[in-house]
Amino acid sequence: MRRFELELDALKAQILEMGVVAERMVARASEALVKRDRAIVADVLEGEETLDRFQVEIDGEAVRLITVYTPTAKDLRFLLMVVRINTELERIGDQAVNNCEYVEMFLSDPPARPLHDLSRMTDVTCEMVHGALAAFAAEDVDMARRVVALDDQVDELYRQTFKDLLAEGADDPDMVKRTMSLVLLARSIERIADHAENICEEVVFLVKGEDIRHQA
Amino acid sequence: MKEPLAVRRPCISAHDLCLWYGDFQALKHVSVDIKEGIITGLIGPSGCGKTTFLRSLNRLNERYGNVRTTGTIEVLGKNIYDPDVSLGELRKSVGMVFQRPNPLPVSIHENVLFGLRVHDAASGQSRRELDSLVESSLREVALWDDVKDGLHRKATTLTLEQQQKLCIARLLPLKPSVILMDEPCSALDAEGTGAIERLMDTLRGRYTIVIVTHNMAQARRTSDECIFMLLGELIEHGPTVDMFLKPNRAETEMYVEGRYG
Repeated sequence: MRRFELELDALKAQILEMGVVAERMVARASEALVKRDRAIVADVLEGEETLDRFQVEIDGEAVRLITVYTPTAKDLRFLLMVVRINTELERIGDQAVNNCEYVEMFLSDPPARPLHDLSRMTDVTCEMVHGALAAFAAEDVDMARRVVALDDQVDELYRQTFKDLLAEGADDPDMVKRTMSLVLLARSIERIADHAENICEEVVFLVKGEDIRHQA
Repeated sequence: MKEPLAVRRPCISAHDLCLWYGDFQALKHVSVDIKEGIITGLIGPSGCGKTTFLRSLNRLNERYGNVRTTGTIEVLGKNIYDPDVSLGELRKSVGMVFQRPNPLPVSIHENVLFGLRVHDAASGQSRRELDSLVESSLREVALWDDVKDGLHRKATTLTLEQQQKLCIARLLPLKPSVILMDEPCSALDAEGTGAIERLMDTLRGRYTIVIVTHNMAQARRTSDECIFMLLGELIEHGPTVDMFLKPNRAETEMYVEGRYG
């Protein structure tokens, strides 16, 4: 195997490692909500620092490989997409940190009714992040397209959660803070799903050279 | 480029072109339309047939003997293999630039007019007209300012870059439609290569240029479309950006990534 190919493989492994951190941050932020456990929040914040380091390292390595090897075809598409996926993962991490802030706001009040839709939304979003990374690892276009299709579910759950929370808040003015934190949380989870969708679109471009963004 | 590539009409159309050197088949059923006014790069590993294909476009291969060709090549609608085609006329409209600059050991001025004299087209033109033609040809290749004070110097005293520009200028008085270039920068340094590439840029649109190059970076920089050949066959033809970003064929992908050849 040529040195360039070994370096591309190493970069891919690094992105996947970064992906594991981002995915765990999203899951842990949800766990903090379910378990009402503030200690988990510190763990998520630590993950953000790791993601920031990854982002700088991966971008630097991608720029170096483009400069040194003037890649073409799939190698070029790979490096272009690595830079984008890197950004998506860093933003997923940022959203997970935001989630923690909203969870903190929510935890200061006693629990309301069970949050079934929010919980379901979180599960599907985590599944999307995991699926997007798996599709990137396997360079599997079909898998990527299946993950993209899940975003409609998240969007629908978000609309429903938003509607329910507003209705709840309208009934009881004391609930405003709690409602606001949950609306923001739902919005943040929905954005994480969008980033996962973007990663899948980037996988399709990487494998097939086909730009499927904004086609819905 | 103002006009989209897709709507440009073909200048050169090869149909089922096969060529043999003795028993060896160098071109296998090549069919392609090369669009007018753009730069088309011919790429592929050594021995893939790209230079043979280039030389077929002005029937230069026939000089080597023992060559047999089937199929057709139309240049601006006329099959150049028709029996009534004059090789002299063909090579006026399809000029060629070679790997090593090949100026004649006469003056710069005479080099530019050489084609006209060979084709007996210089007679009947006044000296002033011929001088003006020399100037416009040398200006077109960005050589005029360098040589205007020494037009009667021997062309062989010029630098290689200037010689190559002169070889291109030498084609222009014959008003060619097509300029074929066979690795025109392989004898030049980076500066000379840059100068020829800038010149190609200025010729784009007015001439149909077909260039054979082993230099992938040059193919990417200079050409609008590329043709990838392998073992005598045309594997893929398309816009250069697509060929280097998302080629359709695995063979092309391996070649442009440097994993083949």
